[in-house]
Amino acid sequence: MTSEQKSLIRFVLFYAISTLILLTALALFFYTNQKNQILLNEQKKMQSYATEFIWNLRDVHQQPNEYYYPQHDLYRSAVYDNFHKLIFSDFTPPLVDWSKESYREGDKLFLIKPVKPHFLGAAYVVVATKTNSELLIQLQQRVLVVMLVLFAIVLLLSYFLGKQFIKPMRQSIELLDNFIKDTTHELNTPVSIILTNIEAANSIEKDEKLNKYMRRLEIAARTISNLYDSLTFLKLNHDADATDKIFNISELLHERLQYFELHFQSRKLKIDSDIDNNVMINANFENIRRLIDNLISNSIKYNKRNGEIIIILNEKFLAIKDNGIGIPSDKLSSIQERFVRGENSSEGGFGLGLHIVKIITEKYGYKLEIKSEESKGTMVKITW
Amino acid sequence: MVKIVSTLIGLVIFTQASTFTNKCFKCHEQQNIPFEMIYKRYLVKYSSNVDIKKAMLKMCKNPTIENSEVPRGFLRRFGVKSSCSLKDKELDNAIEELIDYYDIKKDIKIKFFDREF
Repeated sequence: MTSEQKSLIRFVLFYAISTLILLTALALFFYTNQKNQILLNEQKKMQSYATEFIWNLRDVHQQPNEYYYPQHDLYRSAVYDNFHKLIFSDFTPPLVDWSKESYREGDKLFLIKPVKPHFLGAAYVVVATKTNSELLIQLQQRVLVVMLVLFAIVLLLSYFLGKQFIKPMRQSIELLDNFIKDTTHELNTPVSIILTNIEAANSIEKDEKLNKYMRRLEIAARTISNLYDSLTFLKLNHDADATDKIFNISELLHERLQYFELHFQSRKLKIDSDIDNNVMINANFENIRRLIDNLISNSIKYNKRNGEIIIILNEKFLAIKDNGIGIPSDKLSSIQERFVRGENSSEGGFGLGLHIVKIITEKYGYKLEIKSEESKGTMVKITW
Repeated sequence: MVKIVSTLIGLVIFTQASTFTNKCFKCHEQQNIPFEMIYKRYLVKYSSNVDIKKAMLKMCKNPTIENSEVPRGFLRRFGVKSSCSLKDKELDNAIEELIDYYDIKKDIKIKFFDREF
C-alpha cells in the first residue's frame, strides 16, 4: 500500500470514528429524550385515569348497597390506607416505593396518587400499567436507521474530503515520479558510455597515476550506475512483473563483492566474510542482486575509513554488519521509507537503498532486521 | 354438665356481643341516627380502622362539637351527644364491633382479579 493510500485510510478512519462517537452521543441523547417523553405521556394518561378512579371510588362510597370495585382494561389499581396498608386491589401489587410519585419497575409503570377525602378509606391509590414497548422498539429502530444513514453519508464525505486533503501530497509524488522517470531516462545513455569507455581504457597499459585516476572514475561511474539502477527499480518495479527462478546466491554474493572491490580499496575497508557455498534461493535474480548491492553500498557509504564489513550468508539468513556511523535510534523506524537518509550528508544518495531492500524483502516474505547504534555501526539481517 | 357449660358460654358471648347492640345501637336507632352514615363519615376522614377507632373513642369520652364528625345539621337538631357511661373496655369493644359490622371494605366486589396486563 502506498503512503498516499495509508494517509487516506488513516484520515477516513479518524474522521469516521470521531464522527461516529459524536453521532452515538447525539443519538443517545435524542433517544433518552424521546423515551422520557413517551414515559411522560404514559404518566399523564395514568394521572387522568387515577383521577377518574378516585371519582368512581367516591360513587361506590356513596352507594347504599353493593360496592363494585372500579376496573379498567389497561390499568390495574390498588388502594392503601393512611398507614400504607393494602385495603383492596384488582391485582397482586409488588412492594410500593412510597418515596416516588411515579416510577418504572421492569416493564411496568406505577403511579401513586393521594386520595382525599378518603373514599372507602383510601388514602392512596396505586395505578399500574405495562409500558408500551412497541413504541420504544419503534423509536430504537428509527434512531438506528437515522444513525446508519448519517454515518454512511459521513463516510462518503470523509472519503471525498480525504481525497482533497491528500491532493497536494499526490501532486508532489507525481512530480517526483515524473522526475525519476525523466532522470533515469536521461542517465541511462551517458552512464553506459562512460562505463564502456572505462572498460576499454582499462585494457590499455598506462602508468600507476593514470590507473589511480581511472579507478576513481570507474568507482564514480559505477556509483551513478547503481543510483540509476535503484531509481529504475523504484519507478519501473511497480509496472514490471519479475519472474522467479532458483539460483546460487553464494555465487552472486561473491560476484558483487568483487564488483565493489574498488570501493572497498578506496576507503581501505576490511572485508570479513563467512559465506556458505551453494546456498540456493528461489527469487528474481535482478531483485536479489539489487538487494545485495544496496546493502553493501550502504555499509561502504556509512562506514569510516579503515572500517570493517562482516558478511554472513547461510541457508537461513544473509547479514551485513559494519562499524560505521550507525543510525540514530529515533530514525530507525523511518529509515526504510523512501528518501529518508542517514546522518552522513557528505555522502551522495537519495535515501533509496533501504527502501528498495524493504520492498524486495516484503515481496518475498523475508524478515528484515536492522540493528544499529550511533557511532558503533549497523547490522542488517535478512532471514528467509 | 355439657348443657350447663354451653349455656354459660352462650350467655358470655351474648353479654359480650350485645354491648354495642344494647348500649349504642338501640338508642341510635330510636333517634334515627344511622350508624352506617356515621361510620362512613369517619372512614372518609380517618381512612384506617386504627384512626377511626381513636377518633370515635375521643368523641364518646369527650363529646364536643370539635370532636364530632356528624353533619352540623344533626348537631343543631339533636345537640351534641352526652358523655358515654360505658367503661373503657366496654366502649373499646363496642367500637370494634361497630367498625367490624359496618366495614364496607369486606363487601367490595371485584369482577376480575389479577388479569394479565
